[in-house]
Amino acid sequence: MTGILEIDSLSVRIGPRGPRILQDVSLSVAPGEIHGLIGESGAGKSMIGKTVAGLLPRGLNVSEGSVRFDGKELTALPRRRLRKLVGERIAIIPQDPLTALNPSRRIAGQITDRLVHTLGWDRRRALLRAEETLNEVSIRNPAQTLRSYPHELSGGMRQRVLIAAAFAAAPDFIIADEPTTALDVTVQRQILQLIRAMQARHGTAMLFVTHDMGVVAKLCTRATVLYAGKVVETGTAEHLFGPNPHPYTEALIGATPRYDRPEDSLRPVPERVIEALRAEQEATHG
Amino acid sequence: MAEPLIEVRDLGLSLPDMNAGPRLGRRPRLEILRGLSFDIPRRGVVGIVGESGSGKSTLGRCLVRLLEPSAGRILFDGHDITHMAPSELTGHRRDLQMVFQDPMSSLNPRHTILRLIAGPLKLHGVEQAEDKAREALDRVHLGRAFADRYPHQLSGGQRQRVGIARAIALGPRFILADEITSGLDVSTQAQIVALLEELVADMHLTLAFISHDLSLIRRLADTIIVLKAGEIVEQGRIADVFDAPTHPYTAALKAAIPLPTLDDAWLENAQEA
Repeated sequence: MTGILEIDSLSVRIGPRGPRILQDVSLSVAPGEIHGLIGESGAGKSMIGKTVAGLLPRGLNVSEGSVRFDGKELTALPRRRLRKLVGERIAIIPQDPLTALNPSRRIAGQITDRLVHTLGWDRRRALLRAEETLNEVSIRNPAQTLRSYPHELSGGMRQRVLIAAAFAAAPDFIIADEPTTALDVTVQRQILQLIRAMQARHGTAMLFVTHDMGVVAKLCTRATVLYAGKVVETGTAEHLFGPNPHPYTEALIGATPRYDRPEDSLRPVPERVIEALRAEQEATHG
Repeated sequence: MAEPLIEVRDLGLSLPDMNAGPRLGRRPRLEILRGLSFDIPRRGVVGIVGESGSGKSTLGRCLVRLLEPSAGRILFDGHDITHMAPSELTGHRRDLQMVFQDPMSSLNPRHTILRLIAGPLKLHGVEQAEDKAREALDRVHLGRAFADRYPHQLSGGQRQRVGIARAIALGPRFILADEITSGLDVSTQAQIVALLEELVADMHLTLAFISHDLSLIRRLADTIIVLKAGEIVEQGRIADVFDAPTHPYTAALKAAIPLPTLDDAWLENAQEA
């Protein structure tokens, strides 16, 4: 299968010879797919998105492996070329809508910047597109929202604005990094519904980073489970939530609280599962 | 039936509205909590649920009297603590303990774990405070090796165990836990929940557990209070409220939880408010 994004044996190190925070990661995102990246804190799930977007923090470098986007090798591209390619074709929906928006600028500029500066649209066309996209994400009064400052909007509205900003330039690929973690559950559901609807309408492939097995179950076509910077398994939602997932996947699902069966949920991950997983990773990755 | 440990009647809290522009005379007041009445039975867990801004943390802080209510009253074991001055409250502080959401910001980074747990004990004049602190470490399954470490050397889950150890060391009758697992990974959260269940049973505690997660509350609590915009919209026995929520808000909160099960319809419903 050829995916729009193909990651092959990727390792990312801290410094030239430092520890690897991602090791031997391979995954493939098919066109039109929402691909979940799931794991606990420190598993490396956000780092994969950052690597693809060329946003690795200073000091972290790809040491081995390849990242191909639509057939182009990203790891070999000079930083400026990578930035340009990402700017034109890949969008990011960040976790915290408040820090992702500039508090001193109106919404309009924050959506049109990329259209004007990266894609070279003229300002009027960009503004029209911004209004159109705000409409698409069910913002009731797009014209007024464009004139607003971030603090005048609720958390859910701000996240809608960021989703609009991501889709405005019709990207081929979207990286969503825990976009609903900071939201209340009822707002989270609306935002997930919106992301799903927008993604389906535009057919955009998506990498969706989350720590919530429930979100993976409801949203993702396939997902990759990570532990300690390494892939545990990749599978379809039917496999991961079916009868035979990897024991670690099963343990993560079992640890998730469930109101529909309170006693048979919130099970601590068994020690033996972690030990077996570590031994398995040791044997595979050395 | 025994008297409830805590009785809350018509509780209200209002604060000056800092968003109201400058004006002559008194600032208009913002009602944070309105007309709350409920009982917290002895020995057991009450879950307090609501979305951000619903007033659940404010209510919690009133219960342990970190805030003074502006209306109504709170009886703790028959004593009216609603407007008690700090000096009078001291006698009750040992009984009313709290575990905070973020252990990193509630634990002094320059103190060892032992000192962090023994400190409140000494403040209350408990003898052999350090021995008692070590016992508390045992109770939260941290082990005594942790006594000489500092908060930054601990994982999030271990820090939260220290927060719990501080609260139980005084042998309180009531503990308020405010979103104490919301910053933790699911596997760590499951361990902390197991620990709370064990402590509630072994130490005959009464626990108020504040959370935005109905699934967690379903597991831990015997009774539930659902808050919305500073008012109680529903309360009752946990199974009753879950099986047949009477308020649409409770039903919406429940329906919004993504269970880890495949369900295509969950994302298909139109955008409901």
